[in-house]
Amino acid sequence: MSLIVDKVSYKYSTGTAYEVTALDEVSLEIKDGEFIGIIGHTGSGKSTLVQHLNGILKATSGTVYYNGQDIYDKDYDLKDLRTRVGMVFQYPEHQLFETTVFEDVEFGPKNQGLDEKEVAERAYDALQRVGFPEEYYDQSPFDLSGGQKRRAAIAGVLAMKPSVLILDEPTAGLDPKGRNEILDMIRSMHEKSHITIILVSHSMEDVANYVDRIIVMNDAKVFLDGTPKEVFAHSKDLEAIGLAVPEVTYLMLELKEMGWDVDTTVTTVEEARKEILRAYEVKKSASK
Amino acid sequence: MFREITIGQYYPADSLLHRLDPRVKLFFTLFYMIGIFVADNIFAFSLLTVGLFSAVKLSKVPFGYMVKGLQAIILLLIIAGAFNMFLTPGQTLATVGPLTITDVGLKNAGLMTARMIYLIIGTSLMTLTTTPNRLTDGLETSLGPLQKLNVPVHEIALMMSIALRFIPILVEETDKIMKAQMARGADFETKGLVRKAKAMVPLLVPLFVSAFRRASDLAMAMEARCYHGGEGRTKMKPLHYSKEDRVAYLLILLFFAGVVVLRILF
Ligand SMILES: Nc1ncnc2c1ncn2[C@@H]1O[C@H](COP(=O)(O)OP(=O)(O)OP(=O)(O)O)[C@@H](O)[C@H]1O
Ligand SMILES: [Mg+2]
Repeated sequence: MSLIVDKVSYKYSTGTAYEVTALDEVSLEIKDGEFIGIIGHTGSGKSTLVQHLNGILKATSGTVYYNGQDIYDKDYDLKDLRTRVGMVFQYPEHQLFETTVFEDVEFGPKNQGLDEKEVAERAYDALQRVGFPEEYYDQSPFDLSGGQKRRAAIAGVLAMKPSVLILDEPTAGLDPKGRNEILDMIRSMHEKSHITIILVSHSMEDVANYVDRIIVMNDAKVFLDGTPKEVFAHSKDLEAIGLAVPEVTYLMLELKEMGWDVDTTVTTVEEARKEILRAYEVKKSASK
Repeated sequence: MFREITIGQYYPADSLLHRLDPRVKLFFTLFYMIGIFVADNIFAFSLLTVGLFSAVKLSKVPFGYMVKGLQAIILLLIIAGAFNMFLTPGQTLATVGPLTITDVGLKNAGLMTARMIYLIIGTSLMTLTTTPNRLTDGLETSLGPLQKLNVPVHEIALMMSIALRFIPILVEETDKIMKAQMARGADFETKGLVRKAKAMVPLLVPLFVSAFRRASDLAMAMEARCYHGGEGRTKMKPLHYSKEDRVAYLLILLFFAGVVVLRILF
């Protein structure tokens, strides 16, 4: 049970003056239950890559396998794939269209052909999960704040109960509080229902704190792929392609330079605190 | 899927046609259009063809890219052609079931199809080689005299340039929204008129909302930068004729005269 991307290349506007190679022979394997962060700077091909995972874009060459089946096979049911691999696009609030939030969230499950009761249950459940305030269920989605719209839109995808959930920059344009709430919600979803989560972001900080595996995209290719620790060990390479490692990693590197014997692979503030305290104790007892 | 639309779009290249003053190209388009309707025989059309193809060649825009714009009107062409062919009275050439093809009908159908195709290619040639900004500048200056008759020339030109600028934006937006709804299981390929129309709702509502949002954002941004209409407004790059432009004017006039002469002769 996995998603395999096999040497996928994708070109936009082929045959015109505007041709761009957005993906260049990308190969990946995404296993069930993984929590993956895809990072890379603007235009590196992140959105293009994830849009291949549910068959919205068709690779110029190469192919994608879901659970061992080639999704480009003639008789492959792409509609079914899209309900299994849910995708929350960048700025998903732009896709809202119904007269009420609740009906909008029902759109996905309705398309799955479920009966009315089940559809309503799914919508209710999804809105609960994203922490959408109940008093706004019957509001027009156009009268909501940016963060609320975002939640409603994410609920619209969750309501289809996908087993892989892709979120393309779910926190773009939100304030720090809204950002943390959304990310925490995604993490708790991963912990509770063990679905595979692919989080696209260009903030290292976000990704480092939440995911188990990071895929760094640069210039249409996979640049690095590994656990946060492994990836952040390449801080120089990351800087060379215009990405920053988390602030704490910088701090640890600087401490190391000053002669502290600290582990520079820590990626979160909590780990850094422990590590610095440990190093401090060591230093204190050594100087005694 | 919607990105195929090329009508009204600019194609960046470095060619003589791209360099020409937009007023010259407007002038060409006008006379070329008149020429298309003046021409009514094979000789005049041959001259138009030569003129059009040399212009296309000079523009360095790939021919395939140019005819893409034609795809949108193929159905229209077929229908209009068929009506002309079967419904014009005249000498009967052949009968297909209840329909008869007449000599006049055949000629009309051919002429009309050729005119439409030439019209599309000729006019897209202008937009393909001229940035919307220059196009509007050209239009505004060419129509300048109408200002005296209280025609809001500047506003018309501005509206046109905004409309042109918004085509690719809306196309991109359509593409994005379609993808997003497809990810939620929407099916835009359903059969049947009613179901098809229904399937469009999830696409059209967000599209309109976003078009209005963009329009109001744009108005706000213009206001914030003290836009106040055309009065007293100067240009960063005022239009100047060069030698090439004068030669082009001369060629266009000669070309047009040629078409008129051929029509009168044959
Ligand atoms: N619809 C499109 N048409 C043409 N080119 C496109 C299109 N979408 C993306 N591109 C190009 O493909 C490349 C990769 O774009 P993509 O959207 O995948 O980047 P991204 O990593 O998601 O960037 P961002 O962080 O800004 O979202 C870019 O060079 C971009 O200009
Ligand atoms: Mg993106």
